[in-house]
Amino acid sequence: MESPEKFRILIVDDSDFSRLNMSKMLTEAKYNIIGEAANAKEAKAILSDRKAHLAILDVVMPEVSGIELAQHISDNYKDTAIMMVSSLAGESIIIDSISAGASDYLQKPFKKENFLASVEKILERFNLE
Amino acid sequence: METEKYKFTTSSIIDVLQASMLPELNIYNQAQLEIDTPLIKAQNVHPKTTHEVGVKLKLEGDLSGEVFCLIDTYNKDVAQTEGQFFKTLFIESMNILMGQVLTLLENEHDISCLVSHPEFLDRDSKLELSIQRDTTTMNVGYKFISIHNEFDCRILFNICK
Repeated sequence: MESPEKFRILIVDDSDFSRLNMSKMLTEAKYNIIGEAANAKEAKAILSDRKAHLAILDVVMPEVSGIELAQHISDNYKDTAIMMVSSLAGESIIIDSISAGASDYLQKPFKKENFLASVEKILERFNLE
Repeated sequence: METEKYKFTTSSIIDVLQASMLPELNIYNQAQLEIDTPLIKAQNVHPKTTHEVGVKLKLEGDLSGEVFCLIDTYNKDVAQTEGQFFKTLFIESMNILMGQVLTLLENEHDISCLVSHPEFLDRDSKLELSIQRDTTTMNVGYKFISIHNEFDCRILFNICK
């Protein structure tokens, strides 16, 4: 796999704690965090300005859900992969997330090694040479 | 095809929620939730004190209603510097606990619910339960154990049948 710092990642979660937690895990693993957003509006503003290889999205957010945001990203940013994270992991939400374009779905609370393994697996598709 | 809404009795609501309450949950090694008193029907709901802060979540779907998660900070020293971190950790912990409970309800009991974004309840917020004739209120107690402190936490499910 390419070196992690070449990969640009956007984190979208309405939980301050969750954003901080994921950002810390990814930064320690040397990934390049291009932005953190607390809702879909902020996420769209970041994506219109900066390219992301991966968007990590929470499912339950105010106003626009993570699943709706995933659909927007799938429709408008074909080169951005999507990973969903949520404490909810019922079959219907996972199916809706995959249908909206998510490559993986991780239930909170997750272990750091599982989170980073999912990120790495999704990013394997990109050849940055 | 329209699906029939899940039909509950008071005892069946209590049974499925009791079966879905996690005995313990580790939150990223920053906090631990441990069940303290089992879920029971609440006969009397004590008013929220000014030492309690918490979150309110709304439920829609097979179970509809609201959930109040309150943490008692009486006589606890949550230092000013860690206050914001503590608040976000507590909100995320309740979010995760409720998400795990709702996932068990769907996967084990075929009860599907949507949960809202959490609304923070500060010291001055009142506990306003929407009581209707077909509402069942249940209470469960958890210990919220952070790195520096241990707190009593009560979770109220106010569910419409």
